[in-house]
Amino acid sequence: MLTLLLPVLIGVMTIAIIEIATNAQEKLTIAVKDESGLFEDKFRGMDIGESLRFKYLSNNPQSIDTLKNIYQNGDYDGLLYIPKIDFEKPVGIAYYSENELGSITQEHIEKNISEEIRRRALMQRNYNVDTIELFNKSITIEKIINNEKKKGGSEIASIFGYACGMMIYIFLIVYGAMVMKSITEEKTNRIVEVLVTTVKPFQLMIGKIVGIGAVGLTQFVFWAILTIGINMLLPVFFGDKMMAMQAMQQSNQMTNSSEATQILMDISTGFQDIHWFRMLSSFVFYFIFGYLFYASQFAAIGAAMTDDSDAQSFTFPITIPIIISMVLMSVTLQQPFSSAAFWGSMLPFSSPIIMITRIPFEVPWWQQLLSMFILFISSLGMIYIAAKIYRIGILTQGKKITFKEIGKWIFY
Amino acid sequence: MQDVSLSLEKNKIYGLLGPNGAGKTTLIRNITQIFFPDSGQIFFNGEKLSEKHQNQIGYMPEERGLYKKMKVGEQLMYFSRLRNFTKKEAEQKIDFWLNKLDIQNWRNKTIEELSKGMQQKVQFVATVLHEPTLLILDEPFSGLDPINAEIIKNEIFELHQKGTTIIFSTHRMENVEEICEDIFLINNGKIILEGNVQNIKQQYKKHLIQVNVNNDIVLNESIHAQTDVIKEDNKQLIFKLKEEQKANDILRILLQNNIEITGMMEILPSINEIFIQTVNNNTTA
Repeated sequence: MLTLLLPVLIGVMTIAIIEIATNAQEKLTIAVKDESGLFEDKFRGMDIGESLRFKYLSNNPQSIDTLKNIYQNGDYDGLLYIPKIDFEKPVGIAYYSENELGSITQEHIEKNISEEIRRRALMQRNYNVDTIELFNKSITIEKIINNEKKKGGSEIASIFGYACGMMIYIFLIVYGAMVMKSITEEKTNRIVEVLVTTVKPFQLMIGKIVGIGAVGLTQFVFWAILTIGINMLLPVFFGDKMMAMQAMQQSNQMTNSSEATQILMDISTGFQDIHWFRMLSSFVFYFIFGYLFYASQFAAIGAAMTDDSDAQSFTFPITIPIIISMVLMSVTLQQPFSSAAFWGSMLPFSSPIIMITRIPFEVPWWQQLLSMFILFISSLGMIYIAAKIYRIGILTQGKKITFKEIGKWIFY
Repeated sequence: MQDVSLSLEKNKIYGLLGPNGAGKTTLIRNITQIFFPDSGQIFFNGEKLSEKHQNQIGYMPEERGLYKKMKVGEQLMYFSRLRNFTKKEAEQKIDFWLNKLDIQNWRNKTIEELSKGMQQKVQFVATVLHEPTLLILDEPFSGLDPINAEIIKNEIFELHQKGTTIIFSTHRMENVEEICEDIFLINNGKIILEGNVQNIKQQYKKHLIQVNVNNDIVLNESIHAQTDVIKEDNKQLIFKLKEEQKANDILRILLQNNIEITGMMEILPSINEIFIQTVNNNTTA
């Protein structure tokens, strides 16, 4: 049920966010009285969809009371008054209304007026338009890694690495816990006593780990397809509102359309820089063996537990390395070639998350191969140890198990 | 377990008895290959016990071994498929047993929807579905009302008639007397008593004779002098045979004294009494 429901819920949540965001914007029509005559063009391009409109009045000087009559008798929610402006001391701009002006709208007006004042002040100092554009330019560094020119920024590598690491982290925690819970249930229900007369304990444990892993993977893929599908359908039904929301975000964030264009280009070229085959094949490897490494630990713990009250104390030693890996991931994203990142990508407790985070940054092949080898051997070793614990743990009833006792079981 | 050595003949019903913690479940787990002995060997049909014999053994544990949230039909199908039956074969066997025990209506119910007794019946079906040659039942009547207990008992007898060897572990001694031919009594990991139920009862008998009489009588001095009277009331007399004395001697003495007798029988100890006596003696020793 949850497999179907979750993407739908995410879609509903997205729609709710869009609705709230678009409806959060005040529906205002503001009359603009600009005695300076400098902002006409600016205000003509400041409307945000249907929710914020500016009506530019004639620029003949009139008293405030007269202006208030105009806005009150007209269909306006407020009056924005701009006197003749001294660029050295731009004061006197006021908003008249019966209702408070929302912070988003206020920021929108202030930002646009500030921009225009700055531009005109520079022009007054004989800076031409091209020179003014120059002040807004940002610098990017050209990267040549291993004699190969990189076109995009490292932001995309960071985002991608982070996303992959996050997916593995979620999968390990969620499905590892599922393995543990399932085994504990079979133990407390005594089903395992019947099952082990039919199959070997090792077969039972591996079957459970692989089965739940396969279910998890199917669920994940299903969610990805459904979530992408719903997000592709959203613009079809809510296109106008999404555009209005984007327009609001852009008016608040972007000072320069050329900056927006540059960012889009960076994203596009950044994606081209990623070695997709290496990335995807590595992801599959770390996904599978990371899961096997941790799921076998969860299986061992599940076999040792007598009831759910043991869960916290028993799972703590397993979850700590995973949580540390998440913290280390942030460090790795900033410094993918630091010693912390290197060792994090070698130790099997953290390598599924850390190495996959590093790979978009072009980690040397030998490091990756070494990490994969260590994880592979460690997974097999962990399965072997877990099987020993599982074999005894699932049939042990009635007494509280300690870690010391679990340690002994490994050598039985 | 310590130096446990026993031999089971085919097509017999054995009772496996013992106090709590005696080692019954450990012994069963060795036979079902859940555990492996530190020393010694187990043979099945003349062959060393191995994986290939798993499908010839059926084990019903004392605690319910079923998935609570799974439907009855699905669960039985799962257990059948674990035993390498094809889906079609499994369906036929499931249909057969559900009809036999008249529980077809439960096929689509989850285990947690059923009462304890109903779950026990399902558990029984899961155990015998693959027609094992050796059946191990641990408290199979637990939670069953008398009617359903009778049904399961009849199924056990039927399986026995078809050639199944049965090991029956229970604390209910009345079931042992009714069902088992031979018993093994385990205490502290050792077998302290084994053999045919009737032979064991004979072995432990206290030479008591019960005589039922027609009227409330008072035995005269002559009878008292010749016999050892244990009980004398409510139209029932109990005598302990003296050395060399036989039941016929008691009969003769009573008839000579014109006692009207309606019935006579030898009192054999119950398995319950033998169990308690033997375990206590063993523990004291």
